[in-house]
Amino acid sequence: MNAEPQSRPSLTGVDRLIHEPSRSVIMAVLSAVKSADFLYLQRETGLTKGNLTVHLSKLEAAGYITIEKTYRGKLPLTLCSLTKPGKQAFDEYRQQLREFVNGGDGNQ
Amino acid sequence: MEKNLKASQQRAIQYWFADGLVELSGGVIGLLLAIYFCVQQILQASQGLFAIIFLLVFVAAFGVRKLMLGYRERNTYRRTGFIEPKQAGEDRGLLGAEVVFTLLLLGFVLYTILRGIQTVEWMPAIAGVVLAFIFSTAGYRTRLMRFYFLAGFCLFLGGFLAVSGLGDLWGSAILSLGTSLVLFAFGILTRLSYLRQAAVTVEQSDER
Repeated sequence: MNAEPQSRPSLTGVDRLIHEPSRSVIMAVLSAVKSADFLYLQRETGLTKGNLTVHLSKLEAAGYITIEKTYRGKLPLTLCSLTKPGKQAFDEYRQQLREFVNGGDGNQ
Repeated sequence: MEKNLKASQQRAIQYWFADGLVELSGGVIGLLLAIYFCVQQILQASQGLFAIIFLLVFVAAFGVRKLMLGYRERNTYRRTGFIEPKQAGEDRGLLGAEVVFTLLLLGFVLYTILRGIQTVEWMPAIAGVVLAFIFSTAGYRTRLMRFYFLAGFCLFLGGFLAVSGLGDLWGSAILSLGTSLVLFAFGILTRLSYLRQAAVTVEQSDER
C-alpha cells in the first residue's frame, strides 16, 4: 500500500498576467512606491517604449494599475500606480512563489 | 526571480537618495548651522539678533531644499525618471518609534532642566542623538548602510563634544560642521556613481 503522495505546490495557478518577467518587475516597483513614471519603469525593465506601453496597457486593462498623464513643473510625466486589487493580486502572486520555492510551507 | 523582484523594490525605495542631492543639500544646511553657532559664539550681540539670524538660517535651509528639488526636476527626473515615495507615516512601527523617541527626548531635556545638571554640555549630545535617530530611520527605510554610518558618527561626535569642555556653541558648531563634511563626502561619491550609471537613455527599436 503506497501512501498518498504529499501534494507539492505548483505554479499552474499563478496569475499569468503578473508572471511575465517584465510585468512582475513593474508590479514589484509599483508595490514599493506611491507612483513611478514611464521613464523609470523603462530603465528598470530594460524594455523599449513600445513594449513597455503594451505591458502597462495589459496591467491597466486588468485593473491592476492606473496610468495618469500629468505635469511636474514643466516636465510631462506618465505616472503609474498600483491599485488595491493590483496590490492584492501581487501579494498573492508573491505568496505562491514563496510557497513553490519553499516546497509548501510558505515561510520566509 | 524572487530575488530580482526584491532588488527592484529596493532600488525603487532607495531612488530618492540615488542621485546624492539629498546629502549635498543636507551638507549645505549643516554648514549654515555651523556658521550660525560660530557667529553666536564669537559675536557679543543681543538674543533678538540671534533669533533673526536663526530665522534666516531656517529660511535658507528651505531655499536649499527648494533649489535641490528644482534641480532634481530638471536633471534627475529627465535622466532616470520620477518616483513618488510612499508616505513616511505608512510604516506604523516606525511612526511609533518616532513618537516614543520624541517623548523620551522631551522627558530627558525636561529632567536635565529641572535637576540643573550641568556637568556636561548637553546641546551637542542631544543634537548628536537627534541626528543619529534621523539617520537611523533613513537607514532603516532605505537599507542604505551610509545612513547607519552617519548615525554612528553623529552619536560618537556628539558624545565626545559633550564631555570635551568646549561648550555648547562650539560643540554644536563642530558637530554641524563634522556632519556636514561627511554628508558632502557621501553626496559627492553618490553623485559621481549616479552620473556614471545614469547614461542618457537611448531608444532601441522594437524590431529584432
